[in-house]
Order: sequence, then C-alpha cells, then structure tokens
Amino acid sequence: MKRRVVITGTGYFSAIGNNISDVIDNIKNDNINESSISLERDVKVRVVDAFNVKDFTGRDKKVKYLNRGAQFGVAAALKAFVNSGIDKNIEKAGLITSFGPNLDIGGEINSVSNGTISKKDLNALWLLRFLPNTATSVIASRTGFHGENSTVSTACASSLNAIGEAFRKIKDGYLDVALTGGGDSRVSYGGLLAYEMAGALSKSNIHRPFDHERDGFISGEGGAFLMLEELSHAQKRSANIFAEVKGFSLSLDNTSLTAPDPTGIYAERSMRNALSEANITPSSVDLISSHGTGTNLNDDVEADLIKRVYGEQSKAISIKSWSGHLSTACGALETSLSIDFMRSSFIPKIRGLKNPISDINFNLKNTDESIETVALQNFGFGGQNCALIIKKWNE
Amino acid sequence: MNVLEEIKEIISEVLDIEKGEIAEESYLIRELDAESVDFLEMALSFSEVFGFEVQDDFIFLRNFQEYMAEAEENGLNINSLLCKKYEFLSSYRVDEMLSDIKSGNIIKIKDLVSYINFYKK
Repeated sequence: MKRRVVITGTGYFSAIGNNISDVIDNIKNDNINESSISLERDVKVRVVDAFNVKDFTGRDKKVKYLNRGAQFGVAAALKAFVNSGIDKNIEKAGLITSFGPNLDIGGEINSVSNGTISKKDLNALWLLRFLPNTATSVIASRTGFHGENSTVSTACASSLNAIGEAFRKIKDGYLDVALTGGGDSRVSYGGLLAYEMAGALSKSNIHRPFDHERDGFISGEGGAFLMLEELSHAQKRSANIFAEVKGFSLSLDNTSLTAPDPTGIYAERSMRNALSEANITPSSVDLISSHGTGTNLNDDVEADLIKRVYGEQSKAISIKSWSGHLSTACGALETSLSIDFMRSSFIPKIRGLKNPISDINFNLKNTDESIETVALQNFGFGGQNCALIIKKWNE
Repeated sequence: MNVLEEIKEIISEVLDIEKGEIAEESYLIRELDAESVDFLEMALSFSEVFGFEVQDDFIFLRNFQEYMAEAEENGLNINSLLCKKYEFLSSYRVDEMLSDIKSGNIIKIKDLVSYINFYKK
C-alpha cells in the first residue's frame, strides 16, 4: 500500500507573528514589525520582535555557534517538535533541513584588512557560524533524531525543497518521521548589501508583488519547521493531523545564475509534476501561495505561469508581501502559514498590490473563506524551481 | 579578579553554565561535561585573558595516559615522569590523580589554576 505523509506539527517565527492568532490580527490591522538599516540609503527590513533563542533552547553551549538565521531554525524546529508531541528516539526519524550562507560578514568578523582577519572576539570554532549544517546538528542533539538527514541549499527554493525531500523520504519508506524546514536572516549589513547590489531590494521600500509599480522586495527574517509523519504512524499515536502533503516536484532552468528562465517552461514542469503526483487537476487547487517576490523578472514570469497552469480564476497570494523575503526559509514559513490559513479559513490579501499586472485572481482583500488545497511554489537564484501541494486534513 | 575567578568566568561562558556550579574541586569532564571542542574555546580565552599562549595539550593533560604508559614501558617512576612533563603539578597532586584515574578523567578546575599561575608572567 502507498505510504501517505501528513503534517503533525509546525513552529515558526516571522515579522508578522509567531502564532496564527497574532498573524491574522497583524494582517487585519496591517501591523508589521518593520525597521530600517542604513546602507547608502535607508533600507526597510522586516524583523522578528524580541527574539531570544535561549527562550527555546534553555542554556546550551552549542547555541554560540548559531548565526541569527540558524537560531530561528533551531527555535522553530524545537517548537514544531513540541507541537507534534513526537517522542525522542524514534528509530526512523530524520532531519531534512535547509540553511543558507551566513552573509553577516561585518557582524561576525571584527575587521578584515589586506586579506587578514582580526581574531578579536572570534570563537575558536567560528567557522561553525558559517557552515549551513551546524543548525542541523544542534537540532539533532535536542530531538534525539538519528535517521536520514541532509541540509538542502537551493537558494530561495531551499526550504520548500527540504519539505519535499522529507515527504519523499517518508513516502519511500526511508523515514517514518521527519522534522523539516529552515531559518534565515539577511537582515544585516552584509546580507542587505548583497541583495542591494544584485538589484533585488525595493528602492521605494514598498513591497508590492504583481503590481505595475513593483521594484523589488523587502528583506525579512525568521524560520519555520514542520513535522512530517507517515499516516499510520501518526494515527497510531493519535496525533493531531493538520494537513497532508500530496505532491512535490523540482526542476532546473539551466539559464541565468539569478534570473528565471523568461519562458518559465521548466518552472511550469515542476508545477505540473507536483499536481500529477498529487493526482489532482489544477482546478481543484483553491489557493496558490506564489513565490511573489515583487521583482520585475519573477513576477512577470510567475503571473504568466499561474495563468497557464491554473487559469484566470485561480486565487493567488504572496505571503512575502507580509513577512518580507525570508530567503532560504521562505518556503517553510509559507507552507506553515498556508496550513494555519486553511485551518482558520482565512486568506490574506496581497499587501501593496493596487494595479495588477495580470487578470488572474490575485487576492486583493482579506477574506474568510474555506480552503482545502494549496499549491506552493518557490523559485531560487540559479534557476531552481520547486512546487509542493498540500491538502487540509478532513478524514 | 583572581585566577580562579577568571577561569570560572570563562568556563561558565564556554559551557553555558552558572558560575556557581563551578568549584576549585569540580572535575572538568566528569562533572561539568566539557569535551574537546570546549577545550579549544577555553584555551583561546585563557590565552587572551592571561596574556600568554596556553597550550591546550598541556593544560588539559591530553597525554597523561600516554606518559603513564611510557614510564611503565621504560621502567621509570610514573610520578616523577609526570611531574617532569607537567611542571605545574605538585608531586602530591600527581599521586592523587594516579589513585583517581580509574574512576574517570582526573582534571579539576584547580589544575587549570595551577597551570595559569605557573606560566603566567
């Protein structure tokens, strides 16, 4: 019999809140935790309020080796772990995480001159703050998981990619349980300078995905983890089941190192393959959680894609228009929030969208509406496309 | 701050434990759960705070058992060989360690203090 994969726990941190009631309140009241960092201009950023990783880990000597993004990941993983009620020491329990590069060069290293790095304030093992898999090891030490694992790195597709890999590991019988997700923060001088020089940040400091006036995104930070579990394993322990993962697919553009393929044909392939694995038609998808970065290139290609695959009537949102862009962690946050939106029968509007570039059904007002099936998609630098289909648990 | 207090401060930071949990007689590994990665951090901080390069092999007695074996192989007095290798330890303390070694790792906080006091300029 085919193994089915369900979601039995989530935990997240974002600039619009760390639980669903705060998130919905903040969306309804248009309340986002925004501040700014000064490059050559003031750059708006969306930050997580009053976050202290030790509130979640307690005292732990390993925490000093976690950069800020990794801290969000570890805290989110521990929240999802507790939320799921899973026991430690399950034999086939694994960790499929996603973490990106630490770009907070200036915050990590006291000074660099003529190629020499000042050792002042560096830990002996400062390299751990730059290795993407450090957080995975810390999560393992806290959850007691010993099974298959990996730290996925496919740019902004990373954490959706990780969830999909975890789904497959369970579906194919390599794992019974997988904790999956990521954490990231580019809210630092180095992170923002990188995006600014790449021309990705909004010059007007307004994030308005799919709008004619759009000019880039606002950087966010945070993390999200989900507990994925084989259905009968979850049922045996009477777990609280939130949703089912139905389909997943990946593809590569093989064109630019940053821009998406203008035709979107490979991204389209990943979306269609995910639908076919889910064994559903495009019309049975109630909501599309778009990548929705608000960059000129992404939104043009993506609006076309949504229209081609799902048609004009399909409803689309951009969670990034609220949370800011969480880079590698965006997919895990968007999946976790989509689950909570399904459970709360709430669909957020696309913030800032006034003059849509396409006649597809972008959600322009916050609505209370029942949703059963969500399609998520993320497209990363390097032409890495990822699509995931989830369905609310009603059985 | 005296040497013991400075050491406690550094160890509490590296191991992320309360300073009050650390005493002169505490075993660094057996009781405080320090491991080799922590020794790297401690040696780096000791060097910075006390102003000389702390050799982590020596301060953490990494070769203690090898020296014991070496003395045995060559028919030498174990205590005097260890005292020669670890000049900062008294002969009395080495005897104490030798009688204790079967129960686990022997380094105590007071041994780190001895090392720092011995080599500090």
